[in-house]
Amino acid sequence: MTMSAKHLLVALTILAATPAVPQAAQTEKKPAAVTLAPQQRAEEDKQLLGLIALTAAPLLPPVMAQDYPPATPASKKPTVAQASPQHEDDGQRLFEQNCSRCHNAPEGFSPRITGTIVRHMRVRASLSKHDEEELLHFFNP
Amino acid sequence: MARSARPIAFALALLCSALSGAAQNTPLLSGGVGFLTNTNTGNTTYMPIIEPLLAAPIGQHILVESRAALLETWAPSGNSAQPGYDHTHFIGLTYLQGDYIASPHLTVVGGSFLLPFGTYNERLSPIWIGNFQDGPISSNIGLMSSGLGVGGQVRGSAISRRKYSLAYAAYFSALSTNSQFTSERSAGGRASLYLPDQRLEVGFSYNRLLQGTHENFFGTHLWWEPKNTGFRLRSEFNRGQHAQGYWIEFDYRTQAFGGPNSLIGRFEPLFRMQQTFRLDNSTINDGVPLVNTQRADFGLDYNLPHNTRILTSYARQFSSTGNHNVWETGIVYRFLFPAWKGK
Repeated sequence: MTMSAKHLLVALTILAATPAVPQAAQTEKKPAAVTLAPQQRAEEDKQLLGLIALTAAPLLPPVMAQDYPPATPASKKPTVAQASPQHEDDGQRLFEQNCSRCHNAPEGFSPRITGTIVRHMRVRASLSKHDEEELLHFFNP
Repeated sequence: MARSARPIAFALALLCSALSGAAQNTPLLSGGVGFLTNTNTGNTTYMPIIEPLLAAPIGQHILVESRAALLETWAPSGNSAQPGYDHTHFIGLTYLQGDYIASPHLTVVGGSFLLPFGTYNERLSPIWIGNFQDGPISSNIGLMSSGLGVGGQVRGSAISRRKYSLAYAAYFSALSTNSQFTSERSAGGRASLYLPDQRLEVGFSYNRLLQGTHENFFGTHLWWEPKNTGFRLRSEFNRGQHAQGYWIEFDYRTQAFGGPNSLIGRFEPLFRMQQTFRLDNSTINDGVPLVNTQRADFGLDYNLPHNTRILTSYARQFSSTGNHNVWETGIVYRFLFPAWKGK
């Protein structure tokens, strides 16, 4: 079984458990506001762990044995050459500030379309010419 | 050739015209393909959907871009004598525009474009971006029914500094009754200020309907994404002649347990609260309920590897016409590749 198929199974297990609450059992209460103070994050993470353990326990051991790539958007760059530190920093910053504001970073793409992506983002995200150039260096050092 | 196929053929012709792209400027095909289900007051509809996006640069200053939607909907027939499902399909262009980058601070847009009002229509409506399947109710305010303009637009970055940046968009749209590109005669725009250190964006939108009874629409938005956290807040308030409303949405991806790409970090809990208010007794069809409505959405998305996302949510909607539940599930794959093979 591939790694992505295992992820799908875990998510589908949780998915199946979520709407199982009978409609009649739902309360009429309006929801309380969500607060995400730092000290509550640990609590939330514990609850998430509990959810996983309850709903997907049979699947967890083989899935957790897999290795995962690092989380930074820079790791998703499709090119292999290294950018200069200055371009890397500016490009990374601009990527996080402009692109990630709306959408998740795509997991890799062909270097042949980096110019098109950046020009598209320039129009969509109203980037300046300087930002466009920095992002282009970031993607294609 | 059927009328609906003409714009698609036109888009393909534009794609072919961009064949001479440079090494990094190959036209791209992006978009999302998904399967969505929605259970509203006990009735479940199923919707496979493809939303392809084409972006083709021409020369150093021009970009032609278009997005389309191809979908099929299966919904309960509602006929007790013959229970079953009816299905309908839809194929159409969402927008088709040409962009001319005239200067470092000015881009001129012509064609059929998404109205630059608020944030949802332009930035969050693609299925591979939105956290929830359906948009906020109040985001319909100011979108002139179709959310589209046919005409011209100027936009760009007015000022961009390390500490702040100011972006703008201004448009004029003519009345269009074309079946593919329906629009009202209107004009307006949006300005937004972004503070990178605070990761805070605030903006203001205004537009005016210039046909029939002229009406003004106002909107304001605030987005906040604290640095080095997986927390994100988006909110918007819109007001028109007949209705007003707001939505506020939170999402979170934990940085613990190996970061956002770990097994647990890929979970994305969501919450959205929204309210709409009728300002008069008109029965205008503006996409906003005719009575005051409150709705709370709770979601849990899972970001699978390979640009695939599972969306789940439960919402409870409250109004004087009745309260009801909305369950939504879906899986969306985002694709992004060159329009043709090359070296």
